Amino acid sequence: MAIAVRADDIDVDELVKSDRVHRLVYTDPAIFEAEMERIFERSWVFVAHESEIARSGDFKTTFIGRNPVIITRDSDAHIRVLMNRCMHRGAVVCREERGNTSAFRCGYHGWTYNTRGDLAIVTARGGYGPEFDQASLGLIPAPRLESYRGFYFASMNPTVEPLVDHLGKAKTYLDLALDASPEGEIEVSAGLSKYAAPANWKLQVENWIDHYHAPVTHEIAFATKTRRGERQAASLSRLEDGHRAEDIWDGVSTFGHGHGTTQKLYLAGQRNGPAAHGGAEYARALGRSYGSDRAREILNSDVQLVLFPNFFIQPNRHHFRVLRPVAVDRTEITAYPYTLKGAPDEMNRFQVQDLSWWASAAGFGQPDDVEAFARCQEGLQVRIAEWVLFMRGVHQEEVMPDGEIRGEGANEATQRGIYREWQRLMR
Amino acid sequence: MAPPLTRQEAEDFLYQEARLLDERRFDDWLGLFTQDGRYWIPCGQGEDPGLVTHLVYDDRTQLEDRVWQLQHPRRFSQNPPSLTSRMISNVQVEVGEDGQTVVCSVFVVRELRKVQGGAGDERSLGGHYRHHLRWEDGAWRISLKQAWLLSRDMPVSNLTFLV
Repeated sequence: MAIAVRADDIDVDELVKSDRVHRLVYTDPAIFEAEMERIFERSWVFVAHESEIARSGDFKTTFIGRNPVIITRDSDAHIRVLMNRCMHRGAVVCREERGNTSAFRCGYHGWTYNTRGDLAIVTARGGYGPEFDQASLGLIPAPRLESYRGFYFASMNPTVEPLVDHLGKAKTYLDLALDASPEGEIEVSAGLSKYAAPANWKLQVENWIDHYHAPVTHEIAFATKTRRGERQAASLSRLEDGHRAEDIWDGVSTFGHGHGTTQKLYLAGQRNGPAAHGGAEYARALGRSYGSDRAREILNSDVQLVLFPNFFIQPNRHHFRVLRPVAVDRTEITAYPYTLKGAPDEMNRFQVQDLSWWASAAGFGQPDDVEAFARCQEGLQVRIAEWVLFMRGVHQEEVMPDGEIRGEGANEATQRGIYREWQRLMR
Repeated sequence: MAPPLTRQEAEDFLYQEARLLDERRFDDWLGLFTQDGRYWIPCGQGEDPGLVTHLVYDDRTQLEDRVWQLQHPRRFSQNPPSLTSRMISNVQVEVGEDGQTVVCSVFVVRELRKVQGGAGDERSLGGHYRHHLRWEDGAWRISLKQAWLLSRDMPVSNLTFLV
């Protein structure tokens, strides 16, 4: 039986099997501590979208694992990630969530850094001797910062593989999300929607690409729509083993690094993807930008993508979400609604309202997920039931030529993919 | 022609509304709203809800949905339901834009879900209400209820009860 007491005693192969995960992975504080170093500081984590810090002097604060960081756009318009930690006595130099500034001044003794992170002002500088090396005392940059089409990821690991390799096939799905804009760009300018979960962070990651729960957990949210006749509820029967509706490919995929998708592909051209509220004007704009084949591909897709460990994007609700693990049993999540540049205003307006309706802390959808996470966190205290099961569809995985593993319907291939990466990073 | 609203009448109105919510008389509570009434829990500075995300921005239809699902046993996050007790104070009557009657107040809502196992701690949420009232058919009705939570821009779990 796996018992993790100290981080260096963790036996990863005892905790994760090919189709199940030990309950301690969700409940053990020592494992959580190890995850912060071995996952959140070893891999790439999302830190910002470029439109959040569009002008020189713009900044936001966030976290890489548990490290507080500042993302700045400096006076030369370069984006930087700096440790939010005064080099003097250790205070965070910025406590605002976002803003625009020319400098970060520590409130304790007044050491002041410019937006490049250089230590520009030392209070009463004359009191330091000749050995004092002011130039070496700038805010420490994250060892790596790379971007893909406006999404910035940072790593505390200087030897981490290039971001493009880390993303792999995920780039295809990010492209699909971004090309839903006729200009190929999104703008994060519709506020932030936050919620907290009294539960382990991985429960949220699993859930983001879990087809199985939706018709059950969200039965009432869907029912509020169906009782108005607005749309069909997600059908449990469609998720039965082996069932495949004629004109829809409905399934999941995983493709290395723990990334994965749930997706629907409307083979007969029904519009339920990004185009559902765009109308003919929007469809024509996509056609002008990308040609009719690519436009049809965008219009007929409905993909949700997780980039392990902390990022999720749902193009058909115009938003992405980022999680922050706070403790073994506490997670904070921020939803970033975005608008599609070049899309009709009414489409963007609908999406801001629909996302709030679904995903806010008072919403009709998301709080029921958090309720599930909280119940799992409680139930996983049972010591004599050791395993969390992810064997659904393990016999029905299909390996595509590019290595992507697909499963139809509510296959748990995505969760298995997450824990293969967890295992790799935690070794 | 709407009669002037005194502070005492405004307080009576708010106390009655609070009581309907705390006693879970949600259909009666719905009856306090005009047909075009809105229930709004903003984020940020309360910008245009079509441009900026929000906790709640319900029109009448969505508000009826909200009341319906609150009472449905399969609304997972409201089973067990939130019990609430709310206090309202600092009531002031103002004349808003277009001569609307606006009642400003301060609230504290205590909320508890009776969850076994220790997760169901009672908590407090504070904030400010702004009720836009309209005189209709011989009674004051809510054309807009805004609840400005202090924690509206913070990560908070489960605000699925009525504030």
